[in-house]
Amino acid sequence: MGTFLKNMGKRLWHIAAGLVLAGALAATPAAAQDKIKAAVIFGVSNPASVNGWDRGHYQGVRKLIDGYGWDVTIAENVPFPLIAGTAENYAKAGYQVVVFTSSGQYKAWDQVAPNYPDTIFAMLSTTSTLPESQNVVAYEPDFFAYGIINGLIAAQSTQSNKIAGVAGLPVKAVEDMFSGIIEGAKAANPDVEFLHAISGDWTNIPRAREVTALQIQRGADVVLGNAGVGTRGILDASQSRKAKFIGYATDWAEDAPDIVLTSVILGIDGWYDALAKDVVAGKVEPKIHTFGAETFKVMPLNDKLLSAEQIAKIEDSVRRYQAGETTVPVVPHKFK
Amino acid sequence: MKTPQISMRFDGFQLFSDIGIFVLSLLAAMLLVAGLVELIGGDALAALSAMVEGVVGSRQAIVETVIEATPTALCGLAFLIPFKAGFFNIGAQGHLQLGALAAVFVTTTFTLPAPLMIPLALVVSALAGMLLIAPSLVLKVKRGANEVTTTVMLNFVAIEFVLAMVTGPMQQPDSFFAESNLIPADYRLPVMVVHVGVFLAVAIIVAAGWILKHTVFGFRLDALGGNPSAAGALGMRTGATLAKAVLVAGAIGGIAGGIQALGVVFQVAEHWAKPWGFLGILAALMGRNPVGVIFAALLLAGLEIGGRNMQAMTGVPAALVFLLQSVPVLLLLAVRSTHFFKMMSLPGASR
Amino acid sequence: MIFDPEFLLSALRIATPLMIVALGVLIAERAGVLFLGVEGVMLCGALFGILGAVYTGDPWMGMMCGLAAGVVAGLVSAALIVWIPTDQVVMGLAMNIAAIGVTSFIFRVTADDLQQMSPTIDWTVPAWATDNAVATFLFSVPPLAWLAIILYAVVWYVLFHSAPGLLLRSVGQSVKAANSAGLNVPWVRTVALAIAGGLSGLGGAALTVGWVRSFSDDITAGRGFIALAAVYFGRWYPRWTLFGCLLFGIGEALALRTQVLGGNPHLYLMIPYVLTVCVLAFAESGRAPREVGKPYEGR
Repeated sequence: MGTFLKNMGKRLWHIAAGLVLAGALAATPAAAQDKIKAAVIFGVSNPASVNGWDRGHYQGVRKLIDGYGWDVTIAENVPFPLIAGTAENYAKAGYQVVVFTSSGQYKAWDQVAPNYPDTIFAMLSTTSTLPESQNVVAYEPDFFAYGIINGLIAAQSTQSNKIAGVAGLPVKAVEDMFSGIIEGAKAANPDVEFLHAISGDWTNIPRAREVTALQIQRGADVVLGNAGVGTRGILDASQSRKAKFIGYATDWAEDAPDIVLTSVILGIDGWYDALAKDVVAGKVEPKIHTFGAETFKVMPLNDKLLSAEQIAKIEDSVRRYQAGETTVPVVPHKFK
Repeated sequence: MKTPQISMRFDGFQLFSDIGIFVLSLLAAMLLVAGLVELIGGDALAALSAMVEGVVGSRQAIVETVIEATPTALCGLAFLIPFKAGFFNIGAQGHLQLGALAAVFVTTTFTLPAPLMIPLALVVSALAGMLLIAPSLVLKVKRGANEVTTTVMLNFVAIEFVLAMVTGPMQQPDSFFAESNLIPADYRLPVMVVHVGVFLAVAIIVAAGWILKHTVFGFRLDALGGNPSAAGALGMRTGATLAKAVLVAGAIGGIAGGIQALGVVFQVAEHWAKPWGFLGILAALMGRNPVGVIFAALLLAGLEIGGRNMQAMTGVPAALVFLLQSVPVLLLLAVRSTHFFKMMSLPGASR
Repeated sequence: MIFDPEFLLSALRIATPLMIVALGVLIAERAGVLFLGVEGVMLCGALFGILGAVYTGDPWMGMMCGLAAGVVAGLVSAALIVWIPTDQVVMGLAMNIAAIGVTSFIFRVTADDLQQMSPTIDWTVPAWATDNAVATFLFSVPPLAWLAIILYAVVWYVLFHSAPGLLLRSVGQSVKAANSAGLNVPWVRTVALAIAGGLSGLGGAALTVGWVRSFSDDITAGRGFIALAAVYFGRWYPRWTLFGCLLFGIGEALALRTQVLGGNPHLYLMIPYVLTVCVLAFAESGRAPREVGKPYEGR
């Protein structure tokens, strides 16, 4: 026993020495690289597994890596108080591009960007203002237009004339999207009533499930969900009650093939495309690039849930809206 | 719930052997993490060096660790003081939330000269913490209601209340997120290497350590925790002693939140707080006395900051951050408590 | 709109995982172990439950996997807090953090297979019952809620009306007396923790497999602590613990439904917690089993 412990101690000591040495070696600057180094900051852990907004961003990251050959590092599950520090560490470590994926990271963006002029700080989420700096840029969707497309589809697929929207928190993006749904639905079918509910959190699956079940009980037969991780709960409630589900941001068909009517793709990877092109061309300037109705894509509608005639009608209305042939008024609604 | 006896004695041997075991535990945890990184096809060496660099790699890294440890240490104290009197306070997370909300409310609503405003904000956050712990105390003393239930429930009440405020009356107008206004620059804690809240926290903890060890109040707490009925029979006003300890704990938890708001985050928002309250319980029981709590909190903060840096710089799964924080602690406590080790460290002493 | 059979079903769905987990905590506490690691054990059950359900395609196999994962986690807890023994509180909290890491890592490695929702465990209402409101309601109650109620009856009987139950409670009440009666305290506590862990794991699986049919990191989000609070609320008696869990379920269901009245939803979301505290104010006080929280060092 004694010799074993002694040997064990010796071995651990060797390993420790090895680790220190290795640390010192790894810390020495590597040879100059021509690859662009970028970092993307996520609030959730394992964004690839969180369908919706975060997976959309992850697809964009894949595009930077596979399509543009960038060297991308992902910071995940970054707690609110550490966002600024994380962004700062990237800038110090020589990253050329730092991407923020949520409006909740605005303060860190605002705080860090002016101090590191050699790094580009991009916000790929909704914002109305930019930090006072030359090295910032924002790419955001027009959530109102996005809501209108959702509303057009939902209003023409409901049989009960009631559609439901469930969100995590009533933030600006959600209010815009819900307002768009109301106006889009009204344009397609004035009798449709929009029920909205808040699950109170972007991570709470059980609560999102129960509030959705309530909306379906209130008569909604088409459900639109935007509750982050909690969207899984919305999907579960819809599937248990045989309500139709319209997927948010990315393709949801695989998650519940029997009830997913379609998904309205936000096209987040397109924003990464735009970012990559701007960076490579050296054309990054402090500007908010807004992606409008024509950049959203409606996945093929589920022909088990709708007749061919209905599908043609819906596709036509969406196409006409996207082409600008029909206009829907922008009316902001409040949801609290 | 009875309190295990907590030794206030500084034991040199204990400290050194603790450090020794901790270093070995840390190495074991690092090997585990390295193995897992290799398993998913990452670069273990880069990950571990990023971790080490994240804790001690630069002055900024050390400053971050100290700042991160501050709320944990204060919440640890908020657990430890009533714990000595047999009151099991799991509510520090809630006190912290409400304390921060109060500090933000005061500083974003009123205008005063900064030297008056900052102390006022801290006092208000202490009051907010006391307000939240008061129901637990009253129900415990008057109705015998168990404090575990009430403090757990009041934590959630505080969290929902903060969310209600930042999505309602206190929401920053035109914000795209559930967040309050930022605290004006004048009212933020001044920075001397680290923000002065760190020094305030250390002062509070050292003072608390002295009070617990050298005053009648500290003795009464121990007596109350050791044997409440005997303490009562000896003529001690047990209710008053308990009330003081519990309210002080609430105040300290509130101040922890106030410091965090005024010195680090400058606002409250959705998910603005990390689980400092729960880490504080861990720190309190690892450290066992107020000064020990500081070291335990630094250790937990160092592990977390290092792990976060490892995650961010190499993109390994965030799960490893949690493992890197908890495995060394588990091993340290387990080894320290084994029969074998106790025989070695305390010859002839058996409990 | 707010009060109807659907409201009761929603309350039952919310309460079911809590009920099962709280029963596990109750057994551990009755044996003198402060089971703060319950959150982590529940999380393990939640993950392995969903993995089992997805891989086998059978939700009940998923429940068994959750149970097994819980037993293993309970035995690990026993090794650490009974056999070494370490401080029960600090070990429990550290294990909770470790459990987040372990489950998140395993989930990530296997996440590709978890795209689909896991199969449902709920019964479909048979055709003959659809006209009958009572029968429809009874078939709509989650099967696991029935299971939980049966478990409560069993545990109540075993704890208070059988010899093994008496042994378990005596270990929680006085180690000295149990020792002098010739009981092997560590072994009794190990068995208690295995059962407690199994029930907590089952409760975690009831959350994922039996309710929302998916997993995400830290999906329990404090529900283990709420179950713990329910045991303290119930003064370590099964029937009052059950009542505490149901009360919480009713409170949360109410909170989610009152939203339709308008106003800030977060103010309503405080309902279950405030309700629990208020009811506690009117309850009698109880005493914890005396040995709870103390490491057994009498070897």
